[in-house]
Amino acid sequence: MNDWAATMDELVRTRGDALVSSAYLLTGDLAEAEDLVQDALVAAYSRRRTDDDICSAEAYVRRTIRNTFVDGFRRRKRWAAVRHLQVAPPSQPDDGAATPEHVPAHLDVLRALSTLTPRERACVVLRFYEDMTVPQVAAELGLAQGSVKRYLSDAVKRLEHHLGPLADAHHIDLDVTHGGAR
Amino acid sequence: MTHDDHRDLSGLLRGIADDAAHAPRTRSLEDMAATARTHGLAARRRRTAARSFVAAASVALVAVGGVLVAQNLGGSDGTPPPATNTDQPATCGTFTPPKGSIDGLDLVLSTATPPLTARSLADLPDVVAVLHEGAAEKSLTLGSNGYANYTVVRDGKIVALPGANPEPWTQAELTAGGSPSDPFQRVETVACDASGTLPAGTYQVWATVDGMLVGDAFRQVDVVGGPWDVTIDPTDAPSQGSTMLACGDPTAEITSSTVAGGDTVTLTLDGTKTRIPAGQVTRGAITAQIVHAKGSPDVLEGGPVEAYLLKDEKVRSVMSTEQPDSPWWTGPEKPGDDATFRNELVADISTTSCDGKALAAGTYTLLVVVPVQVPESGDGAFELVSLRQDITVGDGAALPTADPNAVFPSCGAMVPGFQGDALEVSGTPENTTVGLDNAHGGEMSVTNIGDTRLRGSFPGTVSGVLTRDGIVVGQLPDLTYDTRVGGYDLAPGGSTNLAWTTDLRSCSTGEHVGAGTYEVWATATLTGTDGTKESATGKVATVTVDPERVTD
Repeated sequence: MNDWAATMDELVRTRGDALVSSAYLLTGDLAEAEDLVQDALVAAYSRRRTDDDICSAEAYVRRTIRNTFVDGFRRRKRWAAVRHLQVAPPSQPDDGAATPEHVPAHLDVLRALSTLTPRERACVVLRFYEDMTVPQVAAELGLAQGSVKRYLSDAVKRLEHHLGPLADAHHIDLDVTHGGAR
Repeated sequence: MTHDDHRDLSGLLRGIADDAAHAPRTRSLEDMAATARTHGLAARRRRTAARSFVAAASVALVAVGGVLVAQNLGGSDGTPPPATNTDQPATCGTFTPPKGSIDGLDLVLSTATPPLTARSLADLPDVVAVLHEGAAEKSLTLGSNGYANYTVVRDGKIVALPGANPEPWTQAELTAGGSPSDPFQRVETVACDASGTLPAGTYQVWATVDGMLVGDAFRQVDVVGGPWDVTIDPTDAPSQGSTMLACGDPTAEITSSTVAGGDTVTLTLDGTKTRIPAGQVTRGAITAQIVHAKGSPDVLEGGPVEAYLLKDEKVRSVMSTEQPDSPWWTGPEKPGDDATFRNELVADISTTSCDGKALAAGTYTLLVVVPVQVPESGDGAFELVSLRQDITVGDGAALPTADPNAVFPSCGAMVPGFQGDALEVSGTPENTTVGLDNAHGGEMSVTNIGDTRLRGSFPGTVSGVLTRDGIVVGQLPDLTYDTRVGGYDLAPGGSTNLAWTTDLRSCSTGEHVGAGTYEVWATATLTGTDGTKESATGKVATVTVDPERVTD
């Protein structure tokens, strides 16, 4: 096994749960999250050849997860067609173990997140889960800062429509403008 | 949890992530790593093979005089297309029909049926992979990048070829005579002619997927479909001039102009029709208001009003309505009796689909866009984008739109999501298709998801509503239930069932709803022996109303 593959193996072993958790915030579906991480890992195993450290590997995989979610999932017409139907949690596992969708306190949050577009959702996760600043989010997603602010503003508005006031959700500038140049 | 609490979004997200980290997985981390290693190496092998192919193809092209621009075979960034065999057609002006690697494994049309028409190369029909009954293989797993390549042929010669291929990875489980794969995405098809387009006419279209059988040993396969006769007619496109969106465009990323979003000028659709006939242009169906926030200084010059009907966040019809006395102007204060100055617009809606046929009956999303610009400004152009609004096309009752003041389960209210601390509501079958008479039946389960025993009389109340896109659009007036008499006794994890039937009616008209997919949400309230009440709300069914289905 080469060094890159060994690094990737270690990444999966030590950070796999965290990667799936992060992807789950994007998809709202555990199986989809696993698919997303799996796709990113395949890309990482196949493309990288240099010997990087595990932090670089994780950054690469996380970025691939986000890009696949924002770009790839948007292209999946079937997913878009049924996305609003995917809010319902899957059936309870036979062993009775709890899944994230079966924790009642989080159901309304998952449902509210499901109303966001992929790009809005990615912005929310980066800003409020990974604690990135707006410029960092913009750099990660390849967007203008103004676009990120707009996505966050629209997303927070929609989330609050479903969840009520969110105490920490307004630490962003809302001086955004709508309507892009033709 | 109530809306009265100020909740912490970061904390909520971390809580969900923690739950996910500790949830049971469908695959272990070890399995994920092993799969990534295997597929990753396979992808490398494919790319290596592809580079060899591109190099060989480039040499061949030079030899035949360079009819095909080299970039048609590789991406602009030098990314090669996936590996393919030498049987696959590769050069303009020549053609050898492609041949699949496995008998019985083919590409077939996904939903389109002949005669096929397209407005351009970007509009070719979707294809899926099927393993036919009697195929050499009983079942197989077909891996690929999820994209189909289209080759367009006329008079025995290639006139358009696939462009660069993306490199994601997807796989489909196929069984002989079983379900097809999901539709493949379409690789951009590039015309051989320098104009980049094909003249109107009928062409033969082949589709190929460069796949790989997934198993103990990977095996590269070509899956082929076609030829299909496709008539390309550029004039079939709506002749509306330049609109912001075109048929088939995705719209999920398009946000509305709202004051909360920072816009000083917004667009509302009060008075717009909520139900229109199919297959025609409904004149004056849209009444749109341009609202200028207080202090908004700009006078804007407006253009034609663009009306889009969307389904699944994709454009299904396009209509552009020129305004009378153009150019026209809008602003916060109307100067005198200037007829060309207006803040209210009237526009038409077309219910003819992008393929020239009448839109199928059902509920669509109306999106209205008004292009405006600051007069005499080169860079002040932007669009006013309305909020999305449901509109019913064809048969079926008009559905109510979202009412922010309505409280679930009232008409127009937002669905609150799954609720219940001690109980959970679910239903079977999860998916049902009914005819236009809207008869529907199912079974609803009420499960004790708490850790204490629940006993009492049953039911307190059971109520249900019909929802669409998260909005209450109908009531279930004939809800009936059948359960045990004499109360309930539910141990933790225990459940009790209700058999129920109903019909589905719009809560704005009381008439049966039209074609489309709806959800049924129900609330069950149980009364305990001590008088305490436990309730739960949940989705119990997804119901598709299909006009062609006759319910027994």
